[in-house]
Amino acid sequence: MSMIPDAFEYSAPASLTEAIKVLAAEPTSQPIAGGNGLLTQLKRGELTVTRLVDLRKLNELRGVGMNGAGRLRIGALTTLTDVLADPTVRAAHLPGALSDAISMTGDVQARNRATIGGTLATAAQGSDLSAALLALDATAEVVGPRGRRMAAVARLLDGSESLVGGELITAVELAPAEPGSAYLRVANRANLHALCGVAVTVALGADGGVTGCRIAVTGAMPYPQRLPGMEAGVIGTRPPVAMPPRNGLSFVNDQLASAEYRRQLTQVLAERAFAVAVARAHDS
Amino acid sequence: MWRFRAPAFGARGGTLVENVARTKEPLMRTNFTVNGQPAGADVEPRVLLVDLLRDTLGLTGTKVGCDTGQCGSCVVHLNGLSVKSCAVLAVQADGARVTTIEGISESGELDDLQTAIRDAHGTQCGFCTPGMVLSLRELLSTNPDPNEAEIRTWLTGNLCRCTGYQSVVRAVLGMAEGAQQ
Repeated sequence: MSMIPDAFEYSAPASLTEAIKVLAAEPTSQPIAGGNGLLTQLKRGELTVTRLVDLRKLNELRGVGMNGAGRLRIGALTTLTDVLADPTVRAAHLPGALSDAISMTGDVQARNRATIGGTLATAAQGSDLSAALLALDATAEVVGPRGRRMAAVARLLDGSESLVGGELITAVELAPAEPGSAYLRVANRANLHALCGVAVTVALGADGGVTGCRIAVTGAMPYPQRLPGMEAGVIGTRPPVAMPPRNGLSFVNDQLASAEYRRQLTQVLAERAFAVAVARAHDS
Repeated sequence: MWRFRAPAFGARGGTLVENVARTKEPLMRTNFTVNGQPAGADVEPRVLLVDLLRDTLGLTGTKVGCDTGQCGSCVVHLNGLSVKSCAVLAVQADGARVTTIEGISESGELDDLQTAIRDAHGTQCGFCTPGMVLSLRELLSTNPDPNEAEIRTWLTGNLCRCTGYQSVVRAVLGMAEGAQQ
């Protein structure tokens, strides 16, 4: 049992505007939503903050709906449990990469606390959600001291449009339905993060040929990313498809698994997830 | 709040004195209900819900195992949902309804789940049992007749280092069968 070693202040603002103001004014503050990752970092002394700004009272950021453009809009503070239970999500994305990834994330207790915005913002190494949102070509709505912007999840995760001081993800938006999609992974059994996870979406033409495909990997590479070379090798073919081997990509090499093993997992999981996605596309 | 503590596991090096003597922030009033009774305390923001429950309120049925959100010994219900109380700050529970193992049965006797676990020899050292009961209560509230795979998947967040899962699973399966008869 360990008390968090460093003291900090705590506030729970009642509005988004107020939360952003406090976060922007105090650069050593941190927002807290589900807190699963953040509190562990604080306990271990890996992170020091002067203030935690709890987002739990920002009820306007909860819930699932459609935006004006007909895209599915999930409020950033919607818990993973609530996303999975939402009727709109179930109708459009069950089965699918989004519900696959969320149902594999952590355990029940973690999903009861974790929010979709917080899970995306922290993007822990091997986060299942990262791969699913990349393959689903999701965008994030970000609000900060200088206003609102839309950022492709791919650009949040590759660092080119990272969150800056005082900015919060307020919603995640994605296609209203994705008939052929799947997510599969091999997990680290200790922390339940993906050693390698692959999400695939596929669109089939009337002749059964692949007209569109997005493939994204988490855990196996330095940051979650799409695999455009693999996607290009699949588009225009007819399933079943043998994925072309991925050479020239950089895979993580650490105490859990070698880079070569992760490369192999990426290949195998991509083929399997692709097959599941194709089967789901036919079933829909 | 001051109490004797061993140096934090996994935390940076340093002496015990350094670990307890850092600047303290002002205490914050936190009010909530525990097992149907109003409760409250003045706590530092860094105090975890599990520590408030155990050390301040004396509800020691909730256990602390790993303290990193993995083992599930500290599971309680927060507004009706199971959470790991080592992964929630006490101040975050302000205004919430908390249920611990002490409040799981209104009569004060073992409830049907606890009885089933006892009868199936589902408690060995017992340390993980309160967390298992709180976790399984949530499963049974949404799915009164779970199959074995559903029970095992649900228990992902509850570690039993006696490795006594089989008896717990058997207990829950037996409850569903008993209810049908």
